[in-house]
Amino acid sequence: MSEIIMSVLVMGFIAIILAIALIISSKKFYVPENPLIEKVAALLPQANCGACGFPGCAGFAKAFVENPSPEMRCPVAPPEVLKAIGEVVGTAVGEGKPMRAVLHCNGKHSNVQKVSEYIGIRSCASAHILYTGDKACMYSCIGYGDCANVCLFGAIKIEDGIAVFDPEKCTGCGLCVKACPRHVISLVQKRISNVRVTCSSHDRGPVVRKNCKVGCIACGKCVKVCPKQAITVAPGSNLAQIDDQKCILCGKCVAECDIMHAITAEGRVVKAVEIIIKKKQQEKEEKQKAAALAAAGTGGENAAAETKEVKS
Amino acid sequence: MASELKTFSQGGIHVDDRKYSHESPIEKLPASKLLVIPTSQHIGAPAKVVVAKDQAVKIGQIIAEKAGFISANIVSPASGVVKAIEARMSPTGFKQECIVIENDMKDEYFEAVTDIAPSPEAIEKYDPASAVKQVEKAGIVGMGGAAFPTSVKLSPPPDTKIDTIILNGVECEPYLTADARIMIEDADKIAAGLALIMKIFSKNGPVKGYIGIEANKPDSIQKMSEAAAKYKDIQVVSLALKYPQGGEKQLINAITGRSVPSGKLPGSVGCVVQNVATAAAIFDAAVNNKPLIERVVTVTGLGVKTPKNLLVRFGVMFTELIDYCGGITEDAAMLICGGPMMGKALQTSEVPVTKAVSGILVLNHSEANLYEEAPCIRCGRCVDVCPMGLQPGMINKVIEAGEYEKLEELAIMDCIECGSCNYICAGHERLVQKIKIGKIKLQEILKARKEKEAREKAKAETKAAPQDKPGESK
Amino acid sequence: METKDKKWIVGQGSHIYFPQDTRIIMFQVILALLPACAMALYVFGMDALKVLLVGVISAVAAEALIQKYLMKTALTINDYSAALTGLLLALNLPASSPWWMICIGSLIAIGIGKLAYGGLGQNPFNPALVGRVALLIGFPALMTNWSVTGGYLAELYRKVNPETLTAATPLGFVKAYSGTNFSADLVNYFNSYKINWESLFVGTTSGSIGEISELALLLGGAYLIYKKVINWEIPVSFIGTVGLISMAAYYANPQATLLPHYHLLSGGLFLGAIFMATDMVTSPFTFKGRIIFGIGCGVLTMLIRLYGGYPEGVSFAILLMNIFVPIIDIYIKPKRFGV
Repeated sequence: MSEIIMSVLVMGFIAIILAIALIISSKKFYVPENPLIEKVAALLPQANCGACGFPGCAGFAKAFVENPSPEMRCPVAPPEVLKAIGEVVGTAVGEGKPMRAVLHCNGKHSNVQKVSEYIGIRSCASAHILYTGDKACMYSCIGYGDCANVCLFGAIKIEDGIAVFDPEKCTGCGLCVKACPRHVISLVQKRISNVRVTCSSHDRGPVVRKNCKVGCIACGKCVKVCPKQAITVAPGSNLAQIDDQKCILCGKCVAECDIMHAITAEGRVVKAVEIIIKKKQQEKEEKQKAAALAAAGTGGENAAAETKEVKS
Repeated sequence: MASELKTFSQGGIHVDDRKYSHESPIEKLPASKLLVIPTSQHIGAPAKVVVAKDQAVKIGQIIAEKAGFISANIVSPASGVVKAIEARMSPTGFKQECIVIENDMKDEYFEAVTDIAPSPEAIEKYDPASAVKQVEKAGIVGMGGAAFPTSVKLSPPPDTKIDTIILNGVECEPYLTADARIMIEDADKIAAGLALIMKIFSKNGPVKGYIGIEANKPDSIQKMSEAAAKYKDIQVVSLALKYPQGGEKQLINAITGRSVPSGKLPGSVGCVVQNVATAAAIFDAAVNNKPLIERVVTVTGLGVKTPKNLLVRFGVMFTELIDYCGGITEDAAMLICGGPMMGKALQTSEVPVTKAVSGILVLNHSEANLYEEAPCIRCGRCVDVCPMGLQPGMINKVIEAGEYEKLEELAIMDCIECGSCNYICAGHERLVQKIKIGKIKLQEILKARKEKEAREKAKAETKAAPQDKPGESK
Repeated sequence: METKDKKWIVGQGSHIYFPQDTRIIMFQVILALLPACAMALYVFGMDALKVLLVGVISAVAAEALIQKYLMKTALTINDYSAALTGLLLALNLPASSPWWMICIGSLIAIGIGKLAYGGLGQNPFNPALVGRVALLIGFPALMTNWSVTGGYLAELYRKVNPETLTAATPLGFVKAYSGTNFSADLVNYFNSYKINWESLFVGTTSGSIGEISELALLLGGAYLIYKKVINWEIPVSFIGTVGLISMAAYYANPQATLLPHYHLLSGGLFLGAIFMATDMVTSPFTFKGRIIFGIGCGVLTMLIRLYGGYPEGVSFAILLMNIFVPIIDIYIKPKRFGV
């Protein structure tokens, strides 16, 4: 019994001595730090993604407290958090528009031909420096998941050979954009819907058609139909591009791109697109009916008009 | 010849050489109707196209000019008409700008060529002053596989003193036999080419010439020795069988015992290394004004029905070469441009032969490394075999952990990507692939560091000038 | 087949490979252990067979069950590494080990020694030794119970002392010795159990089932060195260091120390030096590193044997040196070309 008491006493004594030493040293070697930094850091998302340009959330907090400027911004944090930080520091954190990442490729295995087998490290970067990839299109998403591996929010999954983004989880930090060796990911505004060209191929039309079922052949129909001039086909690029700032999500281009389906709608605009397509179909049917009636009536005269119709 | 065979000092592997096509003589493959000529067949800047569509060209006419110091001319390998200038698949595995020439089968030369036979007298008579110009005009690059522009190698910076010329007849890559066959069938021309290179460099003092050949090619050694005996100061060195003896640094070390310092070129130890086929091409270009329009390519591997050595015009498709050799077998798995250790796997055989193609290798399923990666068991064999004294296993771990800054300390830039570690790895780890990624990442880091330093320097300078910034007071 | 339309496989070189991969290496080590197993069967009879079978089966089962139900990863029992761990553990146990103790050892070796660190290649310690040392600490009496029931040794013991059928190992005898006339008692002990350097070398003495026959272990070691599975550096430097230190110890105090060659031939030195210290995962990368590792093992072994509480120190020495392997690998680098 006495052994137990003895050992407890000895251990307790050592503990007290050490505790006193710790207290003294913590007082003596105290480094004054702005308490605001800790507060701000605690408010930040703690994803340490680096999208703000500082090393992690603590780095941003330190830089922001020491030298607050509205230009510094955390693209990941929701507006409430930014507001709270602003209240703590006294200067508002720059509130960028919330962004999200989207993929400009629809090279699923069912859409694009597989031309070779790849053996080696399952990493897009490795495959990209080795050759043009196992898909026929050399601009396509490789699908080995470098973006999914860097994503801190679990927003990216690889399905059927391409990256699929979860718009809810995506914070727009942009790490995947940097990680993608093929540059098929970009950041767009986080809106209720999204319209984008799901192709990045700079190949000429016939080549795209051969390689992929859903590639952009730069026919330019979408450019004509866009009411806001948001779509351009840069000369020599063989690829339509939508300016996300100008796009009003009308969905006309999606409906227009009915051969290659290289423009994809997502979210609420899908319904609008369906309506436009239905309308178009109805118009077409009506015209056909009218043409048939006319043809029955006047014969060969309207046949030329009909072929014109088909051509356009 | 020394009783004990020479070899390089550290690392290296003993690979079963599998030279299936060593006995088959070089056959000439007829030039095909359409020839595709990439403008980047060499290390350095791609050549600039100087012909237009539908323009008539003749053999030896320059169709793309060298652009920059490290670059090479591209000459037309056939007479005919330029059909197109467009991006096509090249043996690098990527699409590149190519000139497509329709061959009219007349084989007319752009400039007159002579037919002087290689002999000591011909070299004696030749004035080396214009040799480098001739080599540059003929578009000659190193024909061992790396394709470094030869004219650049022949004109080193004036402060380097070259006293040793080494011809590389090692052909340490398994399977390949092109160089061995050239040495058997064209030994005189190679020896004359070496004598010519020595003459170019001899203005700064005496120069010695060596021809390094591995001991598994006794017939090549014999023929080369006979040819070399006619010239002064040329010695054929028989080397022990060890990969990667054909690497420049390893070959210099094996023959002269000198070690090229890390990050330096062979010129720093007074050596110039040329491939044997390049030497023959240099002789032809300098003495006979013949442009570089064809090369010997080994088509081999168990995936090809009959392995052969073919003399091929540049621009002929791989498919034609393989079909000339009887086509591929049922269990063919990989198509490789070059040797099995450092060659490039291709996804299509519709690519043209270029100056850098030393072999076309079709491996079947049993030969090819088709294993998935298994964990490293730290067997340490990669460290034992590394000819550069690196630690591939450690580098692999660092890259997997993403700690790219540590790669600088591990001297990853010294890696010559010979594939020895990859070959020997018990876990079938893709070490070379990871090292390639690591090199890119490290270069990014070094670049960023340099930029940061430059920025800080600029900042310090602006700070040093005091009254520039009034806001600096706090 | 048309060359043009062929779908090729694309990868980074080297495109050919050296056939001796992990699986084959592990298999070759198991092959190299067969002479030692055969010797164990001859000397200990069916007891040895029981220990070997239980060891291998329990280790493979432990790996399969842990990977399937706890880690939920792909099974890796096909690479023979678990079987090798079980075999090495069994060879390090006395013939009298009960089956449940062997199972606990296997579970610790595979579970804590290997899989807890992330599986093959990640473990800092030799898994079989982790298992053995855990058993040595947990069941000290069972682990030094050298009684036998069959085989050559039982025959021998029947002649000496038919009631107990057991005998101390030479190292155990020395450590436990409390008499006054060391030399005479030692000779007496040696004579009664027919121990001399020949019998120690061939292996007809008591000890763990795998460590007794240096002859069989050397045969296996020679095969492994010939096949380039292990390098000669670690066994030679390890055994050499033990030899030198034991010689020095003997000449310093001949009255209470074993002769140097008895130090070499008794105990688990050869099993440890040839098969355990050379484990690729837990030994240094470089030539110099391996020499340092071997010398360190030798010094620690002799320190434990001469001054420690345990009669045998090979397992502890190797485990302790395993700790230093990462440091050795950091500081002992191969000579770079051209630097």
